Amino acid sequence: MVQLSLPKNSVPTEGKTFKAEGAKRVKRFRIYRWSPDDNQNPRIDTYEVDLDKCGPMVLDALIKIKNEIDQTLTFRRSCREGICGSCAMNIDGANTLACTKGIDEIGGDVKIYPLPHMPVVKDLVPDLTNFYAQHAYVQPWLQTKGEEPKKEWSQSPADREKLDGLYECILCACCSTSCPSYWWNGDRYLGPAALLQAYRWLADSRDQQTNERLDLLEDPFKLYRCHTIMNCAKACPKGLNPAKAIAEIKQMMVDRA
Amino acid sequence: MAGSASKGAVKSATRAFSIQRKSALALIPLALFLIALILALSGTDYETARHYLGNPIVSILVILTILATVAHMRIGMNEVIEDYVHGSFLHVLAKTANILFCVAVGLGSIYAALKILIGF
Repeated sequence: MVQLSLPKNSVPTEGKTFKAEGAKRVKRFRIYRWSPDDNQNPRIDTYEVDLDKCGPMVLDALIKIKNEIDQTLTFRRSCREGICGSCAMNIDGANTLACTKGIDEIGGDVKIYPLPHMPVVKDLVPDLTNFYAQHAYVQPWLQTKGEEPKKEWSQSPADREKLDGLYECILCACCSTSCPSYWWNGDRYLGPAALLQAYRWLADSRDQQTNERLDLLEDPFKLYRCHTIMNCAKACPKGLNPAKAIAEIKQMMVDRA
Repeated sequence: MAGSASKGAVKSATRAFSIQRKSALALIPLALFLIALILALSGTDYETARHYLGNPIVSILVILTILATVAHMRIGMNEVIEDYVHGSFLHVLAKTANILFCVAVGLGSIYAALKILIGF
């Protein structure tokens, strides 16, 4: 059966508190910490950050904490501007990018956890191996039959417009890890991110493997675990709607039946 | 869609999805009919209720309601089992019990409706 409570060795305990001495504008960051090396339960450490000496985004605070308070804090980050998707984490109860989430958007303590229901590598770093394998499964590249054109594969502006709202996905995994169906069946359900990518190629007028792509998804689990809960659309930091893309795939399945 | 050479194989997952949606749509008017029937028959005696249920049009609508409900119920519960019941033995047991329950409810209900209609 589905496990609705945490196993004993995953229940977080209260960790250390790092005070910001002499600071006037203090914000408390309560951050999930876990290391595979010390055989301990996860803990929630509290860091007080002086907002007068910190950038405006949650990622700024995390970098400040790592640089000035606790170098053992581990998290992924790269571009700082919502393009790479590296700093996806659960902030204030919702999956989002730390680099585009303003500290002033959060009232009270800033609670930061890794993306939900994923194996944790360390602290805020989730293991995305399965997530990337699911992306690879949908074969996210142009596939054609017959002779290649002498120049590029052409596409009308109208057909190109059909890819808007699909190609912008940065594979941050905020959507998939906010989906209850993905939590319960993440090993078999492909999840909103991979399915959005699948539809990105199904909707591409240049691609000629439509039926083969649909065959890959024809399964009670891979596609049909989506129950249109819409958490994915709510979580997406790029404002995309994976649930709509999944509904379009289901429509294509019914249309070809 | 470019390159759609074949129609592809119709598989059970899409069939179940399609039946679930179609039965949901069918159940909108059928459920309204059922509510109207229950309201019309409330307060009437056994013979009057039996007389109305023996009307061929009413009987056919009742049977259609039973079929749509049972089909929708089986697929809906199957979805819940696939979502939450993991482990091969319990999974198969729950799905089998669901099918048997729905078949029993469906056959029993249709038998009762036909018995009133035909009077055997």
